[in-house]
Amino acid sequence: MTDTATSDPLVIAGTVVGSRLIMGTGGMTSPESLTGALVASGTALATVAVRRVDPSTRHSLVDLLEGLGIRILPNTAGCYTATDAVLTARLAREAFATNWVKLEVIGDDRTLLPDPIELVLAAEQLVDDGFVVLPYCGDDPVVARRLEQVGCAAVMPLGSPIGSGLGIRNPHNIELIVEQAGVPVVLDAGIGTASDACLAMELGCSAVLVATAVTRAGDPSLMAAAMRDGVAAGRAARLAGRITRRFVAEASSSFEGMVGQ
Amino acid sequence: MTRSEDDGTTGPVADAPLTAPGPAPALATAVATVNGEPYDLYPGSTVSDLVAAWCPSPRGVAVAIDSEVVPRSTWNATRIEPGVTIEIVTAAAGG
Repeated sequence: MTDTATSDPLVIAGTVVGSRLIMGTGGMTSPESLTGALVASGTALATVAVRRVDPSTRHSLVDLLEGLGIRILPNTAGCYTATDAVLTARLAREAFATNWVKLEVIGDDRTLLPDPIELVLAAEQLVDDGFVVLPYCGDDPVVARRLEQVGCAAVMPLGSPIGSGLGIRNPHNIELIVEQAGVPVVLDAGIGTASDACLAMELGCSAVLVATAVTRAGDPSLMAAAMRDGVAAGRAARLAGRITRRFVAEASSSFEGMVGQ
Repeated sequence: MTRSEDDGTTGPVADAPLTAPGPAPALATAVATVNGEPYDLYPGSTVSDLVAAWCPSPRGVAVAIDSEVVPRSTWNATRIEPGVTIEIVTAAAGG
């Protein structure tokens, strides 16, 4: 498949990212398998959590990503309030010298669904503080619009709950979000396999963020490559323009010149 | 945790102060909380001392004192006051 990362790159906040597949880093069993999957994915942007330093850990995720030339997108995973998310984002900016943040404010520890009230509040504060905010949100078009209105550089609706692999449960809402959005829409969470990533792109998303579906796959590197191809196929199909759905058949071959006529 | 460098003090390495300034033995004079654990402070303890003691490298590390981020450029000059709550964070897989 043609690599479209350079000819048709993902652009966020005026910055050329490249690949339309953004990778998560959680759930991998070793730095080596993470490296293999990241390389196979062709990603240019990977998200990392911000956690207390573990003095016994010697390997550095920052070094690993920078060694691969992959831009770091810190996230606020695990935050339940705007206050915690804002502090985490500010720490990340200082730690990784980037003002980009994947804003995540969780509202329920069983479903890990985002809290839209705290999310918009945190987004507003971070935008005011000069951050490029990429919020993980539900698939509610109204919330997506509010996030864009407060200045987010993208919106990242879920397809289904984090790590569920249930795919895109409400494609129509994703289409509505895409249709109204003036910023890139990134399908974040719920992807289970390559066809889900393909569908997200066919619906008009600008990119897909995948973590669990790759890191917990039987062969993470092979799944990462499948996701890369799924995203590329879906993007190409979107640009190509699909046919209109019809209720009944329409013959693709002419009846002219048929035998017996 | 291991000592980042020999400061001339004696005693069990595991319990030795990590941020004692200078060659003279120093006694902990106060305590702060670092990543949820009590942390002995010595006269003049700075954020730089703390980071050197906790992290193999300061790259990719950030520090907050009482929920305020301490800019890297001020680590050397920022003394740690008794009783403060400090968070030292870095990148971890996830999200």
